[in-house]
Amino acid sequence: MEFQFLTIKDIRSATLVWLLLLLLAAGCTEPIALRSDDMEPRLVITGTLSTDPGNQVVEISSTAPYFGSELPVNIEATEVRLNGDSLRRDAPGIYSTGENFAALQGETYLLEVWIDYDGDGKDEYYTATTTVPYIHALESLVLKSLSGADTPFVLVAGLQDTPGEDYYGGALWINDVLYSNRILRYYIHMLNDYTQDGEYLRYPIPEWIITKSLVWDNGGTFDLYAGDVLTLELQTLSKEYYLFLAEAKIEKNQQFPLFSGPRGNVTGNITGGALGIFGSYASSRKSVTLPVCPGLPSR
Amino acid sequence: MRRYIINLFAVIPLLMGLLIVTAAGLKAQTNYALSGVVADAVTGEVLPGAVIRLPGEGGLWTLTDTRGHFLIRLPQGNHGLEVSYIGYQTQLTEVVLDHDKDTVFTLMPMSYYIQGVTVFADSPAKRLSRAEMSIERIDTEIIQRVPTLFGEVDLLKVVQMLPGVQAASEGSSGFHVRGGSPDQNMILFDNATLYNVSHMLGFFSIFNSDAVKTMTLYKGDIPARFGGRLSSLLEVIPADGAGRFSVDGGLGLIASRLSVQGGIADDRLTYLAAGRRTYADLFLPLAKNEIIKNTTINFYDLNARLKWKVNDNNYLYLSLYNGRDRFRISDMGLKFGNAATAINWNHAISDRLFMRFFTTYTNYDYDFQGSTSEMDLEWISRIQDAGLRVDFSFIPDQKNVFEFGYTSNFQWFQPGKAIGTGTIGTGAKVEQDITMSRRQGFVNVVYFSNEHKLFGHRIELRYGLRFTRFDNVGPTTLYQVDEQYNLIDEEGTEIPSGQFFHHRYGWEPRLGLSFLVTPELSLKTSYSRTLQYVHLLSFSSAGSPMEIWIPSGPSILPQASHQISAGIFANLFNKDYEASVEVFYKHLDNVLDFKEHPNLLLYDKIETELRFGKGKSYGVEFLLKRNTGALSGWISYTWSRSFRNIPGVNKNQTYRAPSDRPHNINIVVFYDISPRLQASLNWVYATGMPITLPEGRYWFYNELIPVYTERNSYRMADYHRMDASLNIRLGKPGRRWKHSLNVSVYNLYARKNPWAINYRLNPAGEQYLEMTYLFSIVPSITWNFSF
Repeated sequence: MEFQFLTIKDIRSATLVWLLLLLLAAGCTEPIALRSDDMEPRLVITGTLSTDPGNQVVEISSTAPYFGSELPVNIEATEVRLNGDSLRRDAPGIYSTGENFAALQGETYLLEVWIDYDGDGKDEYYTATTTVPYIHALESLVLKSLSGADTPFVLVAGLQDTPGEDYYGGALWINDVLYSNRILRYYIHMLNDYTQDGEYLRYPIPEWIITKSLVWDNGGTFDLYAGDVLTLELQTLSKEYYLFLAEAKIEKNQQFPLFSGPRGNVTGNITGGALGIFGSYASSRKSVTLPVCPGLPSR
Repeated sequence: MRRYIINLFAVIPLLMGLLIVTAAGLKAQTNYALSGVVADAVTGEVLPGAVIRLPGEGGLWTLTDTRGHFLIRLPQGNHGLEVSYIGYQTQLTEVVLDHDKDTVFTLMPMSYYIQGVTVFADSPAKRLSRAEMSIERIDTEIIQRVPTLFGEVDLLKVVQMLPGVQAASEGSSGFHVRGGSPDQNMILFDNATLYNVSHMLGFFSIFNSDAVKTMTLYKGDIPARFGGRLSSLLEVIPADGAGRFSVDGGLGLIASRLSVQGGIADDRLTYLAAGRRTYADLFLPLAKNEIIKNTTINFYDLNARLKWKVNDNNYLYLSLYNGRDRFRISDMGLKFGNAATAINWNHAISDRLFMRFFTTYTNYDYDFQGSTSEMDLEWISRIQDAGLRVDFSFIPDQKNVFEFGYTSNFQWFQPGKAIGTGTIGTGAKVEQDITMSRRQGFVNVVYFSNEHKLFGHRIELRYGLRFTRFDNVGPTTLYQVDEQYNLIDEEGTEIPSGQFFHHRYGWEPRLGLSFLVTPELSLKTSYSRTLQYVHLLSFSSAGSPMEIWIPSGPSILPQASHQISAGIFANLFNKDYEASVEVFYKHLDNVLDFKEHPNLLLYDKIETELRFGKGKSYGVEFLLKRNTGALSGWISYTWSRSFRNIPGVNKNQTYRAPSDRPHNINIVVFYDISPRLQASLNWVYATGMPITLPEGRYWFYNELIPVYTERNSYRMADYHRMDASLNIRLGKPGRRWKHSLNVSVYNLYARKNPWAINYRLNPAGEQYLEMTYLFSIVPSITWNFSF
């Protein structure tokens, strides 16, 4: 079998689109004045480690009220350490490993944070660990036309899966601009319970249907042209990072609460009562060039 | 295990025989027996539930059974009788009793221009002295007078206006009873279990009022012969065809309906057939919006009912229902619907022992079809239920009514199967599916109850006991979880077809007591325990036909409840008014909710996503109603609370149940302006539905992630709505051809009641909430006729 067609995501997307259409036909909408109370601020610690060399960052911040114009702000910690080594303070609440740090596959990392968040003059202590997964190398990347030879295209990743649960993520660059700069444009998928477990996969990434114009920030579009280079970073995610991403995507996607169940906090792995996540992933990249075709203009 | 089933069936007749012999031993043989039938004087149709009162015997009374039969034992001599039934002129007569006597009473239907209506299909005196409580009986006359949505009369919309009952959401057919969830309501149509009673996403119910005779809602004090759900039982009795051939119909803006009824062979065989069809989508091509223009939205349903009077002691009934909804928008569509069949044999074994035997079958399924450029998708789900039940009623004397019987239901669940077909690069067709394992449940019940009148009928004691056994049957893939809801075996265990691999059983005692303090005042109390072995996994607070039912199993516990109720009931102002106050407390065990961020869609290992805990509901219901006169109706106010405490949910803290809506007011008024004009008005108010809102947010991956503190700690805006209707009788009185116009306005003052809440971000980056509402003001007009 060349690739798996049917995913839960396909079904969810199809039925959601359909029901939203139904709502469009049947219902009307109106802003309402309902607001929640402002909660006591809570500490948030987020950080990810990658096998890709670079300056890898831990960010420390405090929550802001959900409604209103106030945005969450970064806050200073007393000390932030990774496997016992102090991280560099780059900016308020931003701590980094420095350039060219690459997490090692199979290695477990310990993040430690000391911070006087409650203002009692004594530091509280927060920790989290992550074990970097082993890489699933992206061996091929091809553009498959869904209409024969023209747009729309879908990216098909070729990789050797390993038996058991594997958690995949994918980020898309277009001409060195990170298109997956928001969580809803970031691709995640768990492969563990299907007929191709452990086999060589040619997997179509359903997150991005490539046409001449993609959805972009602030209601704008990201226009594509023949000759543009698409780069896929295939990531093998640590389990806790995958679960955090999956729940965060649900929370950001819950415009219409169907097939999503009750709302709730995104599950993190920081001990001591802080929100957030300390996760890791192993990555590899491949690029393809958009062909000349009727559906794509030339620059 | 199959041998077990054979043995079980072998034991049942023995058990029945034992119960019959035991009950027969209780018979008291004094005085003379007056027995007979109460029937419609025009059509000959028997009248179940007619009241036979003896004013000269201290208000002694009895009721006709489902065959219209009654039996009462009286001393020798002359006795004045009052025979009454809703919608019929009361008959006063005298009998001379010097030996056992069998007679027939025929009641004349009230005149065409009836002055006022009787709101509830019981007499006030009867309701007052019965040990049962928390029960509402409504006949189709009331259902048809309540203002309609889109001109379609709807039984469940009337149910939602009763005290202690709330609509699950705007326009929905689902309802909460005393803090219970919609799946905790058993809905029986001629004893066939229905699992989804919605048309058009719940805007209409599947019950065509032309095909319904009466409905009875038991809000907690459910008789021992019924069970299977925690909160309520809604028993819908189909209408029997009358002997004279007649046609009834209605033409509305979006739907029409037609029914025919009549009798043959001296009316020994009567029939009724009724159908409805909507055609709202006929007008959609006129819309400018391309999506709406190409939309299909319609439903139909068909009812049929046959009654065959084999002889005086044997009646056979056949009920059929088939209905289906069709939606299609763009290149995606959904079809869903019910089919139900019931065959009923009523047999009088003697003048004191009656048997009713039912076989039933129901099917509910939905079929979603969609297409993308990559593939065609079909997603199906189905639940089927085949049942048989045998009920015995034994009336040894006028002080006791024994009931006992046996029910058996086999349930097939196909929770979900999605099939994708597409063409891959080589041109080859590929088909793949994601299938949830089939599951089967088998439930067997024996029950016994008695209604015992004491102290000159001033006290009535009702007691009963049900024993239920539930079996899980293969084939299936069994997934079990440990105490932390982790799978014990990731792959699951394959259970072969026909294997009984797990069972649960339980006792359900029922107890009721009424004390007639004065002829116009009674005190009542009741206790009931109920068990529920099937559960609805509802994906949305807004209601959807695409929900699934699953049975209990090794890791899905049966839900259970204890409920106690007490109340004061009074008839006021010469029985013109009835007033009641009821209080209730309900404790729930193994009540079900989802973990946060559950995986619900076509997920076979659903056991990992569920959480079980405790719940409680309590409240007080006030009801004042006027039964007769030009101005009639009812006003009710309910104050109730409902909470859940489920380990693993809401940090193990108690939280509001979705049905926790403390204040609920219903006002329903019927006014006969003139013989030709009848007006109706209702107003509904309910505290807003609980919802969960975030209170904080933080940045992650360039997005603001919401932070919650407590589940269901906020509420949607309060719900309130006023509807009105005017019924104008046309034509001349006394003619066979009758017709009328019904003008209804749903949501008279255009209240925008929230149906769903959406999260939005304005251009300045500020979050705000947006509600989706379904209806503003909805006028409709329907022309009804009969001949």
